[in-house]
Amino acid sequence: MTIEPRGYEYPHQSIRVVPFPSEFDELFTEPTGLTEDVWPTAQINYLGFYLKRLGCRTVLIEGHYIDRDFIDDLALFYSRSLRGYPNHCQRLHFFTEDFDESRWRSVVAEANHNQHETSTQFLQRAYLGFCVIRPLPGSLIGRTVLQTFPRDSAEGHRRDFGATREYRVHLAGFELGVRGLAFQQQDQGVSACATTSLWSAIHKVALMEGLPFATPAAITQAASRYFLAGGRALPSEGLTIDQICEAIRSSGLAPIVVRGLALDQARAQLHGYLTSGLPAVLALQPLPLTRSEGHAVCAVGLKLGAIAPQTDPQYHFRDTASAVMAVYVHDDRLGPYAVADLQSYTLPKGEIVPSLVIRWPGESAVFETSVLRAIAVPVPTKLRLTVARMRSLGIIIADAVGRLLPDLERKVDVSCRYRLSTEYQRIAFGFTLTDNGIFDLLNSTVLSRYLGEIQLVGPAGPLFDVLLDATETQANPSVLCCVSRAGLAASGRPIVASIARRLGATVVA
Amino acid sequence: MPDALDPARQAERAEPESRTNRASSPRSDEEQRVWDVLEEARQNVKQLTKRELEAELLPSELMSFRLKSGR
Repeated sequence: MTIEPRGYEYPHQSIRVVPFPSEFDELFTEPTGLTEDVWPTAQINYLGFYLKRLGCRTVLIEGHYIDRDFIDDLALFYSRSLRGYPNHCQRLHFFTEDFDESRWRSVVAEANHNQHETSTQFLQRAYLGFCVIRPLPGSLIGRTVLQTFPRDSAEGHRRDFGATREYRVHLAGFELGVRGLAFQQQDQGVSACATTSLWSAIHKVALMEGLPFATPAAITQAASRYFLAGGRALPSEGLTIDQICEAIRSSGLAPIVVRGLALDQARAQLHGYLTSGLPAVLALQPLPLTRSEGHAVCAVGLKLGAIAPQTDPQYHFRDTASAVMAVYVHDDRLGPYAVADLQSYTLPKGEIVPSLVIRWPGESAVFETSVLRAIAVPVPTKLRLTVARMRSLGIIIADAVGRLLPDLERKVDVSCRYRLSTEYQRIAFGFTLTDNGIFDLLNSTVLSRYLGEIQLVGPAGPLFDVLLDATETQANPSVLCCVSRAGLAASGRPIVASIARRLGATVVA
Repeated sequence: MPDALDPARQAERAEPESRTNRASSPRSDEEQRVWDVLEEARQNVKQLTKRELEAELLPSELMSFRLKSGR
């Protein structure tokens, strides 16, 4: 008799193709035992609903997939459990094209006969993204990157998903791409809602800075290293905002935290950070407010309507951020890109605060209403100028321009965002600057890596941009230059020159 | 130091006209008017911007607000 051999065998790889089921949960097996959650889980139902709306027709199931995030969770937590959790996951790929196993075989065969490019194009055209399925019975949904809905909606609003990024996906020798932002469900072992929200946000900013992506395990460990106020680090008991800041710092980034004070203020902050490509962790306090603990979601995009007209006769400009109707959030109790309407909520004592009303996509029924307590944004460490400080200068300039150029009829729209100086230099070629102007901007103007960009837009298009040194803490005197744009009439140029001189800046025209 | 090696002098020479814009006093009446309007605007929007800057002051109870919701 010999001892039963264990660990000698390699796991098996198999790629299968199935039609997208009418009920998405048909792909999954219900966990055994009396689980805490209803089956199918809200996350599975949401993903099915979302994929159906994206037009998914086919699911390709990769039977063996090593996921960096899960294997880190396994090393930190699950490897010490009695149950033998495998170290590998499965991965689902979603396509808008109808195809079956035989078509998949022919795609591979064609690639083998000098048609690799054609086969890749066939897959890429139909590719919607992927979802890692973890071997965790109660928390199946691992790293998931799906396409967003298109920019223009049938209802007439716009969607801005500036905080998404490109992911390269390797599937059976084909390299595919999908633009989105990674989402995953909390597992309540290594991560709670705050960890997964921060993990999503870091996925974007770390790429911008060439930093490694922190896994949920690394985030929870970093957050609880110095700030374990009570309870235990693992299983995760959630994170405080202090702990979120600590985890951000340990990832090589810097936290910017602002309170949610009023609807307009919250809109302005979210507009500034999200249009700059910086996802934000939103600290929510769900109603009723008797609950002492909150919930975290990651804001990924904006639902934009028309800019609100200026109704206060005291002011001479319009705020571009007034167009924000809702935010798209990764809510780990639902799924990616859930719609959250931004509204006002009156507290029992009469104070009016910003709130988020989260709904299922395309449905009017409310999933949850929460007060927006704070916005935490992981940013590159050298980005020190906050959106609020940028806006404090931008609004002054906009109000002044509205007074100085009455022909614009107070339709001077002000927006503030960050932009890489290299990107600004590239897009400046499209500004119709004079040859001297573009030469001056590119050859004689020193720019910080991240610029604070105040943009003023009139009815005929952009009037001028005010570029700020984002490594400074105050917006003024940190103005690097004012750049004239095509929407500025000749009569307005001396005014911009005078404004620039008052700001201690140069003019590029 | 010869002029050719003096960075300050070199920078001065290389400075194009548009970059010599920085000044601490207005050049003309028209410019004075623009500067006055900027100052008026600053006073006018003070209440608007004050609230946004206040939002950056973080009370300690907010920083210890725990984010933990069930799945």
